[in-house]
Amino acid sequence: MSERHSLTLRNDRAEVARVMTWVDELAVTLALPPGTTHALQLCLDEAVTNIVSHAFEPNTAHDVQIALWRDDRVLYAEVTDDGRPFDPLSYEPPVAPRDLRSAKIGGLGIRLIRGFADQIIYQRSGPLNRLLLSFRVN
Amino acid sequence: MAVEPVVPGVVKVILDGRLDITGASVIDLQFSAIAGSHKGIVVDLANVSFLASIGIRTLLLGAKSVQRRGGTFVLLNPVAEVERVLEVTGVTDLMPIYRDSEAAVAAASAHT
Repeated sequence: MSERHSLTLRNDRAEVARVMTWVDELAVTLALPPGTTHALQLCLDEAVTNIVSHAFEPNTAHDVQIALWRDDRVLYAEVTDDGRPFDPLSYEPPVAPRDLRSAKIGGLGIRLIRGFADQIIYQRSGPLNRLLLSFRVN
Repeated sequence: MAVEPVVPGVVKVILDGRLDITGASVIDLQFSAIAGSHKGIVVDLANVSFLASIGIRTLLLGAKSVQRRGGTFVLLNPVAEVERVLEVTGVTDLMPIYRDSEAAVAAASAHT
């Protein structure tokens, strides 16, 4: 098991870029293959964007925590926030549209997290949303 | 973002870098203006390294706008990671992906 690396963000959409830089740097430290790094960045981008956009009352300051660690075969990412409860596993994304006319804009972020993370665990513990994503390291 | 006129009414839009919240916000306005004023659009994705849902929103809004006017919106040469994002979100069922620039241009020119 590797050391646990963590990052604290403010609830500001501009902070998403910091997550990407942080992951780029850690990908070297944790020896992540490009496919795993891409899946991780995509899921963190979508999860953090959702949290800073929807979890909090407007004009309130909050922190969002991200922790990353790995073992031989699996990379783990945990995202924690103290916003309103949101379980991405219970959210039903819109059905895939058949044509452009009926295509809805939105709900794609959750679909991406489900498609790119190998396992998703959500837990509400007290005031906190805790989302644990895991990725096979190929 | 670069825009190359191909034939009258048809353009190739060459995107690059990351289409995440930052990248999408840079191109949104211009992309939507181009989509609103052409009947054929080829979006060259070869130099796009990362596509998040916010970037898909940009593509979908553009494609819907072109389609409403009876035109054709196609994608060209996404890298493997970007193509997988398009598949997982169902976008590959909504807009065709081409590997060959001439074929993409021919498809986008079909209804002009």
